[in-house]
Amino acid sequence: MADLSLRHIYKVYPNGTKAVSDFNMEIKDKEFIVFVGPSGCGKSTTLRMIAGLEDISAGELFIGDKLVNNMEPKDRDIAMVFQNYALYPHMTVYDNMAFGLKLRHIPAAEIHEKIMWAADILGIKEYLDRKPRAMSGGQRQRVALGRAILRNPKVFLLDEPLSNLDAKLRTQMRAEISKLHKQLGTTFIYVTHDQTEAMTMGTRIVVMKLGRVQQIDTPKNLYNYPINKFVAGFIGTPQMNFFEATLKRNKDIVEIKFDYCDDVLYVPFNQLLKVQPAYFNGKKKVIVGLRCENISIEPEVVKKSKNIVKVKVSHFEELGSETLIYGDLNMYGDGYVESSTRVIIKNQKGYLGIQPGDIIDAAFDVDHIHFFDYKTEDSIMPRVPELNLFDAEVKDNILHFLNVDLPLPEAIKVADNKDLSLLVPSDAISFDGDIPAKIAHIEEVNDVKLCYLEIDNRIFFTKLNGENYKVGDTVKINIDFTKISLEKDEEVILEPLKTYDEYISGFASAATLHESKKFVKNSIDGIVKEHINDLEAEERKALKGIAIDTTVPKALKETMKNNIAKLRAEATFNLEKGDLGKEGKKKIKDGLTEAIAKEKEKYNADLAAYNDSIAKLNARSAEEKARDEATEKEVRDAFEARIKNVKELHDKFNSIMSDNDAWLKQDSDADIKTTLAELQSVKAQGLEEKKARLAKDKELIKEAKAKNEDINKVVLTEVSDVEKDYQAKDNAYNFALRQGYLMINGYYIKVNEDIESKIIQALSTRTFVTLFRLEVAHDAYTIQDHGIEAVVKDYIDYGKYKFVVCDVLGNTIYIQSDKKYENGTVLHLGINLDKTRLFERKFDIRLY
Amino acid sequence: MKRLNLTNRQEGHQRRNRIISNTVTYVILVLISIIWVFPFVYLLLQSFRGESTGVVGYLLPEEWTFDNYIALFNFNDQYPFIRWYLTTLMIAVITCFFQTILVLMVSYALSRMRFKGRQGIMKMILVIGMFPGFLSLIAVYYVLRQINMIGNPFGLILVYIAGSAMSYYIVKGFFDTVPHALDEAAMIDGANRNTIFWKIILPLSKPIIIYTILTSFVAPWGDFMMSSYLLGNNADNWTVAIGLQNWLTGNNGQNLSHYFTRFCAGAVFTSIPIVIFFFCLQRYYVEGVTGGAVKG
Repeated sequence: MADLSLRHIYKVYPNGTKAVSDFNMEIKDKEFIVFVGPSGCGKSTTLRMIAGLEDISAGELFIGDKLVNNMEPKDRDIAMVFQNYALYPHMTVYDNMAFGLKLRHIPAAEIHEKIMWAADILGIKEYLDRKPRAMSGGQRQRVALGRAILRNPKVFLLDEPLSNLDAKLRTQMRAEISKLHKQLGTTFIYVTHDQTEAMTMGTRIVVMKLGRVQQIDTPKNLYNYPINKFVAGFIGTPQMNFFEATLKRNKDIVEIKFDYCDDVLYVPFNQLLKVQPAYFNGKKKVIVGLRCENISIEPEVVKKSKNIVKVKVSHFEELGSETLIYGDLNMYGDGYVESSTRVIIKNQKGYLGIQPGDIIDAAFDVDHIHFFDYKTEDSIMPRVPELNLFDAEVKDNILHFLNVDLPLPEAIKVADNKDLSLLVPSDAISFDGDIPAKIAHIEEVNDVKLCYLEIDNRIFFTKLNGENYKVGDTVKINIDFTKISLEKDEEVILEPLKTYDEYISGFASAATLHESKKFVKNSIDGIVKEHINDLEAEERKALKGIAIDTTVPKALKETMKNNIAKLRAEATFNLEKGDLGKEGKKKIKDGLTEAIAKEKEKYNADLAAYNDSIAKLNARSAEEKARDEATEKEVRDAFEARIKNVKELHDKFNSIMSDNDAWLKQDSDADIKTTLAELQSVKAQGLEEKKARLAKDKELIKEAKAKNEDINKVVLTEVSDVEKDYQAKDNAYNFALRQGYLMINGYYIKVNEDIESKIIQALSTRTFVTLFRLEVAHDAYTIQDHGIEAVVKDYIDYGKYKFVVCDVLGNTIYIQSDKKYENGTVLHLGINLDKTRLFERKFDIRLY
Repeated sequence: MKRLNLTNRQEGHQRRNRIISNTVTYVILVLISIIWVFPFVYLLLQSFRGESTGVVGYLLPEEWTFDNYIALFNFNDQYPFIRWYLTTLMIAVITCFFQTILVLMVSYALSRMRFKGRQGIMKMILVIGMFPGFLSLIAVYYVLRQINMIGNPFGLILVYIAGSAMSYYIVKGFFDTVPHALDEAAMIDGANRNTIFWKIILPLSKPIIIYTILTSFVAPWGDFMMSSYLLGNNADNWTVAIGLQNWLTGNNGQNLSHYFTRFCAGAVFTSIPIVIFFFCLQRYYVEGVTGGAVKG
């Protein structure tokens, strides 16, 4: 009887293996959720994390509105059924069921009543005196279910409960569990690797693979709109047919040409509106998916259909009510091996007189066709398209597409060009502009309202965010130029502005900042050193091909030495591993000699390549040399300046840090100083008060004791009041010391409790020694009196949004601002952490 | 028909082979058991000998008597066997009690809990366990002398119990075979580690508990090395093992001719509790109780 919320849940093992990555899901009350996926996909791990049997590495888990990350399993109000039942073998069925309730000190009469109720539901009343070993698998699983439902849990977790049962019993128990779900009205989470179970039982299904969620949807939507090839292949038996093909659009007709055979289908473009336009060029390979029931060989259907392919039949599988016909699009294929031309057809009417080896006509139902990218295997026909592609041209910095002329903002300078592809993400289109468009259709996909817009007979997509438009309305749209990109022949001409600025940041509590500045200094030193290393690497990259890098031979030699040492150590270790025999030893030694020779060879080859490149550099013409030298100087100067800048800022910070008082006075975040100082004085005051009061009271008590009891009492309460007051002050002080701060370039940003708990939740003690990557949205900055120093470099205008371009320790950042600043002005920035994202850098874990 | 005959003949051949191999096996087994049982029979017979107290060259006594046994129960003898016997019993029982509990708990912790250095600790204990106990004898002797416990049975008990966790390995192996799902189910049912250990795991572990009890009783019961060094020279404090050894070699070997038959009686008497113990607990020793916990 509770909602469940999983936010950015990770399971990372100490060796860096990610069993579960970034699991996000909201589970509503009374839902029947099924986690499904091949073994090792992290579904059981996720379930065990919900149960509390496994620690959550990062992320937050809410049951109801309570954060349960650190809660014991027994306090989470959940019940779990295990794959192997996990009944206590030395107890009778009755005791097994009563165990949990007894531990919760529920009166025996109530326990008895509950057990009878559960036994009644599950039909195990006659077995209550038996021990588990005297029962069959199905009965045991029923007892396990009974034990779980007794406690009336908020969430019911089932970990592959049916996989130990035989096929018939499984079907029966499947129905019973579904019934139980209806009867109890509790949230169920069910893990299985069997897609039939998932499809028949779940209200929503989570398909997982290699620790990542592939798709979360209802069984029907999973079946009809798989998000990638994996989901398409995993859901449904027999598996979906996959063919390799290319798509080519000729005006209103799209040609689907299958590889490895001669079949071609012609489909009206209107049916493929949602296919990402970039795939219509006739070159990009796609995977076509079609389920076996959407291919027909019945004569009437074939006669009517326009989409016919030739299939060579290889063999049949008779299932009774229907027949599976296996064949191949390729006339030389054998139809047994899973290949990109193998086809399975489901036919309800038997063989229709077909023999193996026959070549028959099959009709493809293109309404149910799916397309996937050949490499990424993601669907290229998403239900909610994210990207629109238009043909465009640019002239005099005016963008022309769909018969619309749109002047580009000042910030974008594109040379005149024809035949460009304009990519507009659907969230870059808003309704506050002046380009007229017609709403052709509105489709609701889950929670999203997808809006079909029409300009010049061309349909494209955007999402409605609460706007109340009807089909047929004419709206005026605007395009957010920061998000668009332009391409010509796959070459990017204009890139969208990156959404986030990146910083490297550390985390510290006020106590650390206040009491051990050395620690902070070290952290900053680390950050600066890393930064400089990065810059140097970048410089080297920039200089590649135009300047001689003298560090290379040394580095190569070093690498070789290291590698050889490693090999030697490994071989020694192997040799000492025990009884190898003469031959084994010789083998290892030979292997070592060979590996070392290889390493040396590699070194020589690398060195030769390096010498080659130097020779090439030396062989340049004088003109080229002069040009390269000029570039080299430019690059070197630029990087020198950046590194100098970093070092200067670092020195400045160090000088601030070196003087304790000075640091506190000039502190970038006045907060720490004032809060701590104030609280300390208050605390001291409290202590003084307490001492004075106690001394006074002692006297009073002495007198009072002599006088009477009543006065005694009054004094005592007063003493306790003072004590309480002091305690409160002390607590407040200690609490303030625990306040967390994110450190960016030597400045501190107060972290609110919510984010703080998320960070600490994820990394516990490692929090303070880890460096984070902080991604800041452009509108998250505030300009204030103190804060991160940024030097204004430029001001760019994207029309709707305007940005101040700044330099922070050599990094370029964009601040969304309508106000212009002189170049060279130093701004002090604050950051609104709500509009940022924080990542752990080593394992790339998103913390919020 | 012909084929059937052939099969019959083949079967006859097989049966003959089986009889021969069985006979050989039994003969070997009988020989081995005679070799094993003979010392005990010899001991038993000698303990009833009445005609002399020394070592003799024949097996059957000429005069049968219980005197050797009766002499064992004399508290005021120069060598008070019954006093040794009770001391040993006390030491063994106390050690057995604590050692069993400790071993079970340590094994459970090492089997179920994951903590830093777990592997290291396990390996270390295993390696240290490889060294014979008497290597530490001198050190232990000095430590006990410092706390004035030489000649005191409780000092010995302390030494025995202190090393008890060393034999965690077999018990841990047993606990590892008890499915973790049981712990987890109990955890979700609301049990803490303590409850799980006492109410779930222990009732399932009868065979291994019996094993632990037996081993931890037998070791101090028969130990000679530690006790002979730590219990001193006063015969009143000795354990059975020291006393019996003294009857064979003490007094510059002169004891042998006076006490040999009494030694035999004492040895028989000493083995009685172990035999009873084993017969009582034997049936749990073989029985497995995990049946029905999980799918089997």
